[in-house]
Order: sequence, then structure tokens, then C-alpha cells
Amino acid sequence: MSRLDDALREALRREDPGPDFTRAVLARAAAARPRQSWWRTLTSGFRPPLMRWAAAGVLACALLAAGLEYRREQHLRAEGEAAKQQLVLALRIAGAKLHVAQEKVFERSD
Amino acid sequence: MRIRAILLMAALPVFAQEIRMPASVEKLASKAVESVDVMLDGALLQLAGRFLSGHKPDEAKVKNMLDGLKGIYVRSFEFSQEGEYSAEDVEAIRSQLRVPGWSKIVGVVSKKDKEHTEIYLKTEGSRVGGLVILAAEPKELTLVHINGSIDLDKLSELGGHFGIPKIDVEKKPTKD
Repeated sequence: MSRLDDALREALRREDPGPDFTRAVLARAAAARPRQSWWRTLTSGFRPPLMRWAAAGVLACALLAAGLEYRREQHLRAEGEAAKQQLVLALRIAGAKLHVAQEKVFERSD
Repeated sequence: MRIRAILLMAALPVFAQEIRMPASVEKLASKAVESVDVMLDGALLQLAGRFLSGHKPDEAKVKNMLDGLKGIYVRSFEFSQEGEYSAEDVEAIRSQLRVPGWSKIVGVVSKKDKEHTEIYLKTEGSRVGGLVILAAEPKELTLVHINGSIDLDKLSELGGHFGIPKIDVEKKPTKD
């Protein structure tokens, strides 16, 4: 029995693995990062604050450009409708005067 | 240099609106109870044409007529009483049309109604290049200038639409 005890004691005796072992274990632990979702992978480039501000700036410029274009279109539409009304008015006046002249010419001819 | 400046200034009316209300009549605008001032040059005519629907028959006719037009100008004054403008004012307009290319095709005088209507056409070769209607009534003075290639048939087709009286170009006067 004592021989068995000695053998077990010998086998289970604590041994110092040395500094290299400790370094290797720590390195492996650091390398084994948790798995990221695809979204986190995609946005990882924007994590730094500067990139976030740049992205916000680009988005703001795009919105501003879209807004200005919308206003330009609205302004052009208003101008076009006004021109159309002026055109109809001009043709109405011209038509009325031509009609008067035509009536008088035909009156004289009768 | 001086000669070039004079020639350039003489050429300017060719490029600008040709027929204008004289300055003496323009001053009467403040006395007019109603005045109409329409100035549609080529660019504005194109813009107006873009907003005319090709699907609506009325608007399609107008849109069709715009081809070849360079400008439409209307100046009209309506006064509350007679005598606000003089015969000299009308003559100042008429004198602008006594230039080569322009010819009077209709002149109607009604002494009873004291109305005087004249229609001038500008011809460029065999084509019509402009139309002027000068209507002088006791309380109203109207000048209509349509610049560009006008198809009188298309103009007559507008009659009955947009409040425009129907103009029968084909009607021949008959004598009984």
C-alpha cells in the first residue's frame, strides 16, 4: 500500500511548467476571440469615433443635397405652371381680338 | 469702334422683343384699372410646353402650336374712362410695323364703337414669321405680338378651348 501511495504522490507531484508554458497559454487565450456577428464585422471599421463622424457628415450632405434638389424641382414646377397660365391667357386674348376682327370683317361682307 | 457700336445697337431690336408699347403708353399703366403683361420668350415657352399635357386634347393642341414659336408678348391696358391714350400713342406702335417684312392684312375701323383693330403678318419667304394684333378701343388698348413660325390653321384649332372664341379661318363671306 505504501508503494502505491508513493507512486501516486510521485505522479501527482506539482511541477513548475516554466515561463514558456505560461506565455504560450496566454497567447492562445488572446487569439481565441469570440465569434462576431456579420453586422459587427461590417461596422467594425466605423468603431473609431472619427469614422462615425465622417459617416454622419456624408449622410447629412446627402440629405441636404436631396432636400435642395426637391426644392429646385418644386420651384421649377411653380415657374412652369405660371408660364403655362400666362400662355393660356395670351392665347385667350389673341383669340378674342382675332374673333372680333373676323366678326367685323364678315359683317362688312354681308 | 464707334461705327461698330452703332451697328450693334441697330441690330439689337432684331434679337430683343421687336414690337413694344411706346414709353408714353407704358406710363399710363398706373391709370389702368386692369393691365396684362405677358412676356414669354423661347425659354419660358419651352418650360410652359413641358407642363402641358399631351394626353389632354386642349393642352395637346397648344403644345403642338408651340413648335416654331420664339415668343409671345401681350400688353393690354383697360381704363376706367375714354381718352386715356391718344391717336399718337397708337401711331407710335403702328410705326414700328412699317418696316420690311411686316404687312397689314386686316384693318377694321368701327366708328360707331370707336374701335380700331389691325392685324399684321411678318413674312419670311413663304413662311409666316410673326403676327401682331393691335386693338384700340375707347377704354382698352391691346397689343399682341406672336414671334416665330405660326401655323394659322393650328391657331384656329384653339378656338372653343381655354375660353378662346372659335375662329373660323375657312369661313368665306357670302353676299346674298
